[in-house]
Amino acid sequence: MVEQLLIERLKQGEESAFKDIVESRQGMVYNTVLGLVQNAEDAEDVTQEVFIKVFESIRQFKGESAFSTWLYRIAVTTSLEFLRKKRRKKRFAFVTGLFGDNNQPAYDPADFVHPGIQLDNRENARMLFQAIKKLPENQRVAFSLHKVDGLSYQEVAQVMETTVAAVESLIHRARQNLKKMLKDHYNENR
Amino acid sequence: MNKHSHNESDFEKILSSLDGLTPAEPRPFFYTRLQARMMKSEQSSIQRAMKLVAKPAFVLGTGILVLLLNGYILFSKLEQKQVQAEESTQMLASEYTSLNSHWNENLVENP
Repeated sequence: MVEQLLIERLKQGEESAFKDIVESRQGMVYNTVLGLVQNAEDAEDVTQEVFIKVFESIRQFKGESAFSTWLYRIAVTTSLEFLRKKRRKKRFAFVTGLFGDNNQPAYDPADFVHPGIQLDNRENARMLFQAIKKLPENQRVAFSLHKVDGLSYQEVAQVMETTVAAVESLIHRARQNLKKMLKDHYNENR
Repeated sequence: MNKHSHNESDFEKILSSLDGLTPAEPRPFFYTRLQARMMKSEQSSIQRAMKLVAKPAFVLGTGILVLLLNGYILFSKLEQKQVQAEESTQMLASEYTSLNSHWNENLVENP
């Protein structure tokens, strides 16, 4: 109810309403983005971009879904756009590198660990995040929203605008793929 | 079999390493940084517009466009005046011929 009022005030261009929305939702958005982009600095940039999009397109929010669902959708779309752009940049840097240009591919730390992971799980989580990076886009989104953001299958389905059965299938396939990747990694490093 | 089950439990352990994860938070003063970015992007879009307006190509292009428009308006007005002049000459001529023929008819009837 309070959030509904804030949204109405934001639609009328009230800056204080925007501040309140950002402060109450910044953690949620940042956590989702961080799970997908797996880099703290990039996550901060993308989170800022998400809130700029919210500010610019709040009038398009008709209240057909929950505000949080709408926000999750913007966060996921913006993160995926960011990752695609980063991949394109990397490919371009690789190609120009072949022709003798000194462009180095963007630094991409392979050992991301979510800051909220418990200390005794950090090594396993590091391996898992590396494997999550290699998943197909929709499996990655479904798995991350469920495991990192703690959303239920129903909520993930609403964010991804699909059915619960489809989400179940995506997460099942994600788990199978992760197992296979981890198995390969385990066999290689034995 | 034993090795296989050992692997299975290892994978399950890795997969469950995200259980009980504490949500991450951005660094403090996030809103201040967001506000600064929004103001910067607003300023940069104004600056971009100003830079475009100040470009010689833009100034030259606008000048040429204004001159062309001027020329077009002037030319169309001249053409209009010419047509009007032609029309009035034609009207005068037709009036003269009709008056002339009327005069001649009167002369024939009342010599």
